[in-house]
Amino acid sequence: MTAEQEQHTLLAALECLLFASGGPVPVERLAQAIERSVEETHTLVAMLEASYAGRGLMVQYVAGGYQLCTRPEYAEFVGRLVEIQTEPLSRATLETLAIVAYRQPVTRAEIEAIRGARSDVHLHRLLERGLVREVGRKPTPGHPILYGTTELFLRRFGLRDLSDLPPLDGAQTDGTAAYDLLRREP
Amino acid sequence: MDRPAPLKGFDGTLEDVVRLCQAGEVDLREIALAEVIRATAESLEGTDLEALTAFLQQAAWLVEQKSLQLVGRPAEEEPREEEEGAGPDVTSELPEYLVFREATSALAALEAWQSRIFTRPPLGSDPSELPLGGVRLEDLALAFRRLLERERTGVRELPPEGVTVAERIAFVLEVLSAHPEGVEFEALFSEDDPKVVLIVTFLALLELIRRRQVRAEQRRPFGPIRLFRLDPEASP
Repeated sequence: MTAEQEQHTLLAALECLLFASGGPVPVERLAQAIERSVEETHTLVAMLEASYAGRGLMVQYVAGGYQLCTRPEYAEFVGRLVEIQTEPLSRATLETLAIVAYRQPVTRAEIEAIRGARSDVHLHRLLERGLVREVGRKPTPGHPILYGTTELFLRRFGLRDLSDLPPLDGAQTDGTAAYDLLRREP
Repeated sequence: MDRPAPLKGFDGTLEDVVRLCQAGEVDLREIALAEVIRATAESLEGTDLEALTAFLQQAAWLVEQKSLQLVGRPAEEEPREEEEGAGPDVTSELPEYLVFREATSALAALEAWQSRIFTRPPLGSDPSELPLGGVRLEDLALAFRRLLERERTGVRELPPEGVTVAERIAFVLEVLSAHPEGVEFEALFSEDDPKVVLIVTFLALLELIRRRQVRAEQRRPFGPIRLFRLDPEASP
């Protein structure tokens, strides 16, 4: 097999792995499956992604892994076929989630001190939706529960990891400027 | 808050006033705060509770800041403030809250963007869904009702006092761990168990499904419901 054929096989194999997995796959597991080094696998995935230019699919790095997914430009078409089941979070629930995301591990009392409002209902909803989980107890009187975000949170918000959260400096004049949308454009 | 508050030479929201005040770019003593707040309040009529809450917090903060600037801080309050000048107190709660409002908007934008991206359903179930394979919660409730109604004969012991959900959770996990191939729903409930134990065991089972530690499966309609212990590592 020539080097060119071999590369073609590996790219096709990676495409199969990403398709079959659906969700994000850590690069280590991809490397294992194609029996190549992690560095080489990153390069091959980048080549695969480049080959999707101008197509409906793309490769996204999210929640610590690669996933094969549709491009957002075609969401209307997909939406007509697939029922979209997750309803967006309410503003107050999202606000609670933001505090957990940036301040984790954090207790309910700490969240409520920042929001200035009771947040148990919102926390409960986030726990039910699997976006937030209990991560331990704070070693203070009463041992309050500490909350943190889950892997599903990263996936639902398209984040690579927690360091990928938009910077929190309060200097923005409007919320959408808080992160660089352009970075995410294909 | 999206509606502009009328203010001479200023076309922003109350939130903007807070921000400008924080940045030291506006002197509250020169602003007719009552006017601004009244106008904002009028523009908010009929909007939702969240906008009103934010409005109240911002208005209260501004009034407090202005009164402090006009009257000065009470003497007993930390004298070191005076060395730093009588600028707005940036350590108050509200600005931190505002920072998180920004972060919330950013997250909302991220969520909206990511919601336009679709993947195949991953192998295994969506972690946000309950681990129920072909079973609805109603099916579980029905199966449990049948179990409660089944003929109970013979001499039974009086219910032990204080059976807890935590105890029954430990029991269910123990049984399921011993049977990786799964256990039939009915097998968790012994005919000799007092009713209270049956009920608490059922509650324990529901709790374990909610925590995604147990998966319930029904391969065909009205078929037996089987329960499996889920690998704790598998759930996030």
